[in-house]
Amino acid sequence: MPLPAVGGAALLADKGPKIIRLALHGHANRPFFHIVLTNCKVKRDDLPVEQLGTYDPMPNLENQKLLSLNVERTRYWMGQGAIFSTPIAKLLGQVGFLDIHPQTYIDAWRTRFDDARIEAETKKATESTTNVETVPATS
Amino acid sequence: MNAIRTQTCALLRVNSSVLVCSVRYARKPRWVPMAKSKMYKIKEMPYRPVLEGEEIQRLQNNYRIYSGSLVAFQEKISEEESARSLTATNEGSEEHEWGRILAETERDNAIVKEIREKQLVEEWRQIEADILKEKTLLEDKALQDMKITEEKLHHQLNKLKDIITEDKLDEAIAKALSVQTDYNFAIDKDDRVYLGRKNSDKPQDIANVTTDLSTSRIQYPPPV
Repeated sequence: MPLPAVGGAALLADKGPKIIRLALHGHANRPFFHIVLTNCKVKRDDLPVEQLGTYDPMPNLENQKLLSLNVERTRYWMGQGAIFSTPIAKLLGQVGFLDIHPQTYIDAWRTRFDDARIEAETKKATESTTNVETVPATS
Repeated sequence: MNAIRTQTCALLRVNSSVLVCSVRYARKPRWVPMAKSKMYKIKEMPYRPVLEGEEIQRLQNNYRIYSGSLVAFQEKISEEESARSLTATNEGSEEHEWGRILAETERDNAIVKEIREKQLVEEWRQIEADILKEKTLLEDKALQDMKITEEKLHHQLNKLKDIITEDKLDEAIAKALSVQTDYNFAIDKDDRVYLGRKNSDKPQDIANVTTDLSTSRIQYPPPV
């Protein structure tokens, strides 16, 4: 007989479509995520079928955001037809486990575009103020 | 019986002729019109380039193809692996696999240990430096405190120089008796002060009195 799943949700193990996603743990002002494989219909923080890793979004003393992943099991579940939620797909894309997610590119270029726009606006504002100063007074 | 049931059902059913509109608590009810201040306000939409949609579509198509192929590849691999694991368990090579995994773990642990030891040494160096710095600071502060205390002590000793000791008591009494001080004075209508006879006979203007007003018991008018 196989061992029970890590999350203990043995009842849900064989039922429904599976998804690999983030479950929020931690406490007040201290987010911490578990990377879990669950039935996609259950609640976010319910007992998962299996925990595949962790993700700490707060940088540590060395300025690292740590992500741990049981690669072997993740690949196994991929083979079983589990899908990734967008946030975890983005993270795993940045890590190099999957292809880089399109949303990562979109966020990057939108940030760049907004920065450039703000810079141009400030430049324009400063130029206009200098022009006002240089205009000679007519009497 | 059936007819009665259908009639009651018809009564319970919400007809289209009845107006049903929820109040939507914590929101504006639907029958309240738009606020006048918001009537002609046009929301500014974020600017998006024209070609962005196409680009996003292209990226998403690519991603879908790549991830699909990855999943297909993984499915194939896991099928093969499951088949292989079945044969491996049959052959009894589980112990060999266990040994291999242990060796791999130990190798990884050795790498992590090396990194951690380096880090710990660095941290300890930092802590040592911090402690030394704190120590010197404390020593400096103690020296400073000592100096201040000594200054205070000298000041007090200087004050004690003119104190009347038991030896000088008779002398001090004799001196005090020999010097008579007259504290009497009077003021007339023209604001002139007449000091006591032993001190002075001359009348003085209040404006010219140079006594310390803050310690004086007499309330002088302010100088003009």
